[in-house]
Amino acid sequence: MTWRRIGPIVLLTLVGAVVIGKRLWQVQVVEHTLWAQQAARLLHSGVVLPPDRGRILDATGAVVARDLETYRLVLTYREFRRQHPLGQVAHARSALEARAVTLQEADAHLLEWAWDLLHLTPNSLEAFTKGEPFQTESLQVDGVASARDVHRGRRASDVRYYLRELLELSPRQWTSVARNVARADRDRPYLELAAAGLSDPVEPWVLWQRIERRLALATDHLAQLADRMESAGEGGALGYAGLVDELEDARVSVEDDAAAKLFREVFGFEVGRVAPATLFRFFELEWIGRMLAWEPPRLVAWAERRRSVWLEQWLNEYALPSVCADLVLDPTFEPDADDFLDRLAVLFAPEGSVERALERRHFPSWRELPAAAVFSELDGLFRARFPRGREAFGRVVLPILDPQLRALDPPTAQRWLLVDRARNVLPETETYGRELRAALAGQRSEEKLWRIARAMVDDWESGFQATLAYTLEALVREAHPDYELGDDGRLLLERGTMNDVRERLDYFLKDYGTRPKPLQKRALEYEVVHLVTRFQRDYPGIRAAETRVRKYPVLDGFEAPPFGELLGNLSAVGLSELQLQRREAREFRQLFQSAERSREDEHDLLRLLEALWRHDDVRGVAGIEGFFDPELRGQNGFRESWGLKQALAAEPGRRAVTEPVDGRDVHLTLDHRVERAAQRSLAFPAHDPADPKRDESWLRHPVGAIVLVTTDGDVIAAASEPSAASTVDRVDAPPQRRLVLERTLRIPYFQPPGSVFKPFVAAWALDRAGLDPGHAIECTTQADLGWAGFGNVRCHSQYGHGRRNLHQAIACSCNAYFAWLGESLGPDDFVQLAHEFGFYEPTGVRTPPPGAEPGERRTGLREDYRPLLSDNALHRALQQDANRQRAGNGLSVIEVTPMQLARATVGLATGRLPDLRLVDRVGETELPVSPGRRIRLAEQQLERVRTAMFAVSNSREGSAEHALSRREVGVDVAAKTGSADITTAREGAGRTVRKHTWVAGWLPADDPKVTFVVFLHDVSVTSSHSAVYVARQFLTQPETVAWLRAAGIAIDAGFGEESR
Amino acid sequence: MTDVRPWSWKGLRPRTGLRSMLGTDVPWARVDWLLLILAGGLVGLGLVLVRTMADADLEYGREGVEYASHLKKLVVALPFLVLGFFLRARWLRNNAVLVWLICMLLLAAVPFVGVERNNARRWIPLGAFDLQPSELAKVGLIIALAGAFYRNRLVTLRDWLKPGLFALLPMILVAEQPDLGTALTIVPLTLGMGWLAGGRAGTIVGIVATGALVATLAWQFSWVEDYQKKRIDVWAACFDNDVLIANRSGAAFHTYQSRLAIGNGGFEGRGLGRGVANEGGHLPERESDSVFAVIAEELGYVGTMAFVAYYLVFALLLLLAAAGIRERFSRLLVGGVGLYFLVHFFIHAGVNLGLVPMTGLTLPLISTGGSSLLASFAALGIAVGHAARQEPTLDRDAFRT
Repeated sequence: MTWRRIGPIVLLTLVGAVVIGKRLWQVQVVEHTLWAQQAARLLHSGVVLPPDRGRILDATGAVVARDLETYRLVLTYREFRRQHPLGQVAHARSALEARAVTLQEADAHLLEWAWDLLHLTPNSLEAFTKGEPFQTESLQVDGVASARDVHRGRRASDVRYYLRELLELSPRQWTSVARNVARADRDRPYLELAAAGLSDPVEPWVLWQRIERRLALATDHLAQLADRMESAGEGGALGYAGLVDELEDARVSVEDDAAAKLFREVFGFEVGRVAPATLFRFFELEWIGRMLAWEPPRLVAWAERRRSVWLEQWLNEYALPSVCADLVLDPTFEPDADDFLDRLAVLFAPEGSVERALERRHFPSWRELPAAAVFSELDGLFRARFPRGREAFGRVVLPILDPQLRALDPPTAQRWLLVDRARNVLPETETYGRELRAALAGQRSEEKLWRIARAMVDDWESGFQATLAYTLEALVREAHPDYELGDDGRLLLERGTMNDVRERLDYFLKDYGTRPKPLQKRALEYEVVHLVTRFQRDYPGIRAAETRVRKYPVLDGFEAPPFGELLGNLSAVGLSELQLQRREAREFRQLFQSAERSREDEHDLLRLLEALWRHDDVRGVAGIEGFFDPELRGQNGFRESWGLKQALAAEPGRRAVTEPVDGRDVHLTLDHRVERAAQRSLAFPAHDPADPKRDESWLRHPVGAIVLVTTDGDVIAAASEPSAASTVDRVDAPPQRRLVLERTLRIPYFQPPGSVFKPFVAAWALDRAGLDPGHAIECTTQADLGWAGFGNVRCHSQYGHGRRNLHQAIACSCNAYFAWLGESLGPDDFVQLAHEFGFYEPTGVRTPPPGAEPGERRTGLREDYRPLLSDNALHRALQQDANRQRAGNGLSVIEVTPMQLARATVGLATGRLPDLRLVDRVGETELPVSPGRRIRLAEQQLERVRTAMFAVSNSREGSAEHALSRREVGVDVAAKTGSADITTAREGAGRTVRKHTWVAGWLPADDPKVTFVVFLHDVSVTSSHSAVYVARQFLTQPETVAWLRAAGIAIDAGFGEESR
Repeated sequence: MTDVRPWSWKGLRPRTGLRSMLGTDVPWARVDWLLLILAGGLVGLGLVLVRTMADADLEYGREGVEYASHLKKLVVALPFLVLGFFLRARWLRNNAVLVWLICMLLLAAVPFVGVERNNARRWIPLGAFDLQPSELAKVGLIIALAGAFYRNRLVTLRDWLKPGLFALLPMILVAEQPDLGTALTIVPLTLGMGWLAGGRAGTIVGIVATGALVATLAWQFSWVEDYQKKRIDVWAACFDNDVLIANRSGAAFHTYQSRLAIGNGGFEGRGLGRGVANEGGHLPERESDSVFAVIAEELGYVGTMAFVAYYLVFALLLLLAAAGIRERFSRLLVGGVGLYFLVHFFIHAGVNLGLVPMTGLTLPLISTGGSSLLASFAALGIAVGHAARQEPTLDRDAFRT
């Protein structure tokens, strides 16, 4: 052989070497960072560092909402399994028995089974490996023909590992023991071998005693933890058994997830996509059970659970709502039948289509769906091949795959017929299509849409399953029994599909097993945290993870946190928010995983971190928490750690990409002490013992609101009843009594102001309608009414007030006078006066703080400020005399909130209509005090009304004199009472008319500093017999008086003391 | 008919029976000790790697690599090295077809008596270990090809027929198992030996071109199985690292883990036993089909290149040893063994580096695996023994000069 023959081979070898070298250079040097980081991903983790949500403080500086750092228990099951004797024994036993031995079983037989395990011998495990029969004191395992098929070797190896852990031998000690075993010793139990092989050898029984003690301690530790959690008291008793149950649940979850992932990788679709009956009839799945040491019932339970998860959690709760979200949420989108079918079709498209569609926010046409899920994977999955072009053996898998239906292109008017045809109902029968058209047109009916969508998906799903079973049955029928079917007649998988399944399963088990899972969702007491952190070795895999909860402290004198509904609450981030951010979330993941990040990448990472919601994030959704959420929320920090233990560096790198930025504090204008007084006055309303007219029912189940506002617009108290502290029988109580609502800004029920509206009508009439204040009207019995009154309006005095001018009419709240006045005014007058005093507009409490994004939409602090009737409708209604008569008395067509009334009253008292403020300061930024809007009515006319209102509470005929005179409250008050009928029934014959009663006023009467509004819902007596007493009670509460005095208002001595 | 007695060296009595098969008359001074030392180095490296893998598995509580088992296999394989070393060229030449036939019978028996693992039926259980006949078949093929080329000058295309049949049958049999790795090895091995035997370059290029054409047609007309197409597709797509990473849990799991381990090694390597392959334990078949990835990770670029050079020098020395042999059969046999190591090395390294579609193939002398060790030891023994003995022959050197 000469160089002529050898030379080219040498040359080729050199070329090959160069190629190998170049490729190695590419992978090892050029791409090293990428692969090193991929390797490090095994331990690469990013931790979002949550900020402290800002506190909410009241005007006194009392904290009414704050984040509390607390802990919750999380479990890393892999650690528990490997390090806790309970896990070791259960899993060793599982490996021997080839069934999922539960932790509960292991717990019941812990000592017995540990003893058994430790008395295994090298030879017995060797025999087990070879598939021979195997016996211990408590276990009999039959021999098998093929040990490899049932993974005996691997299972024996697992048992050896758990033995080593039980014996607490280091790997080196174990190796030493294993290697030093002489042939003659191979029948000696591991316990004896370990006892003799220790650096300080002991007798076997001594070693067993140590192990026995350790096992007892291990369960004691768990019991201790369970006891502590039980005594912590939150969320009910857990108990030792409960704790073991939760540990077992975690184990089931890890194994289920890993098996499901493996299934998906091997078969190409989710196991839950196929009904378990079909799955076990046609698919060979026992290999999963054999690898995981599951017995057949466990395998079946897994398949059923995954099916249930797929149907309920994935299809119904996630996928369907996600794909249909824009049909109802996007007002700019006018969907048609094709849009609807596109969204439903993607649910049955091959795996991953839903995610891709949501990510791209684009749904491919249902007419172009190439194949249904599962069916797209079947050909090529089995050794038995589908006859060409007969993927479903002649059946149409889904109606939308029917070429005839796809070819249909009906005219627009009949387009919705497509939906019916796609649902497989009788052709040309328009049922769902019509309903759907109605559901998606104009005011979209979300409920109807879901009903139709769910019904269609259910139909498709059942058809899909039937066709799948039919197809597989046909495939089995045509398959060659020797080569393509297993012994049990099931379809054999194609060669190559099972490559590396063992390694992949291990990978998934490790992956899911190392993901911490919440063990207990409730917050932990300090002593539990102390236990699991101080004695970490006793609780392998269990640790206390930091978390935050929002706390609303119960302040002195309260039975519940103050400002309850006004403060609002937090809620977990919803699906829709997460959906909207899918693309950004993907970008974030890519950046997070990228090998090298440029400065721009880091910047983007931070930007996304700030913008992205995490699935466990909470955000304010109601009240002040909701409205000021952007300020309160703060900004997440982020810390990532890189490193592979022992592999990349001595110490894993750890760096914080950014620190969290805590949310800003929100300082309220509200004063919790005054709030307490208001709340108390509402919850425990006083009544004048001398007044025989009382509504006992209301007194037992009070419903109402109190507002105290400074003339600058600062809200000092805004109390609603019922509140969270209310203890009423919610079933027997009146409907509104059962609702804990924020009532100062809301109109939960028909809510006319009644006579408190009269001063505003009077002021407008004086200034704009040229009302002569001296003009008097006769309030006397009307024949047609059978009661004193005017026109259609009855006065509250049966026999009338006699002749009354404006001043007198306001003082005694004469309905006849204001019915006349109302009739005298035009419809425009009412619309304009309502606007003038701000009844139809926001009060200002929803003004965003400085620095807010222009046009930013904020939730929370919901405020009702639109009348039930629009301006036009109001205008039309007021064309009728009767309605104007009622409107003059604040009835029927006018509705207000207590907060609006308080603001309007400030306008009346001061001539300026301020913007109301609930929040004084956000962080260090003051919220500006609005100068307000001048009431465009002559001051002289306003003063006339004020004088009359003073008379309401101070003249003998005043409707509030008996409760709100200086004698009663220690300060001159100008006020107006109001009782607004909320039914059209007439009083008399023992029947009382239900009404809301109001008091609105200010003090001091001559130098207004604060206004107050008391609103009582659904009372049977007038304001003079109800609301005025609550107002008096509130104004004379020690806290209120103290505040008023502090505000520079002179209150007569003797008021504000506890005795009153 | 004249009684023709077997030719006897130095006029000694004719050899019959075992003596005709084995020859102890080895000129020890002519033994290529360097080759044996280099081979010993490779076996030693294999031992070290397997030991670190076994320790890692023990430490991380995994079933997997067992050092004792590897040692046992080495002990079992060593006699085959000795046996190969003492095998006489004449006996082997005369019985080349018989050896090949035995190997083919074993291969043919696999579908009937073999055990199936991971959807492949390649192993015949023998109690102590499972024999993989396809490994032995490669050595059998080398012997058969050497015998076929012995009197065959490969002048015409027809001359390729017999060696072609020798190669085609094991290819068909292993393809049925399926064992793409072995099938892939046979092609270059056959063509390489044909080249060493004097085959024309044009003919070999023509055969390669025809093979490529058939492969293309098979691809175009879907004559290959879907899973095979899928494997090729995945391989082609995984040159793009993003695709590889995206498919890391699925079809590209093995490729990803290999690439991850190699890339993680970097320039200097992670050190013995300290790579992600050992610590993670997710690299499939890291003690056999993926041992190159472990070497690359733990030794780094510099160490791996040194290892590549070492291995190739070892294989080229076998070719050089072949060049020095006058007797045509032995020359072809030793050259074939050299090619055997070269082909294994390039396919094994290529698979791990992603240059060749994923298939299971051991790295001879280093990977664990009883059949592989047995075959490579036997091949090495035959090569070193034949190179040393250089039995005289009356045959004319047929190599074109």
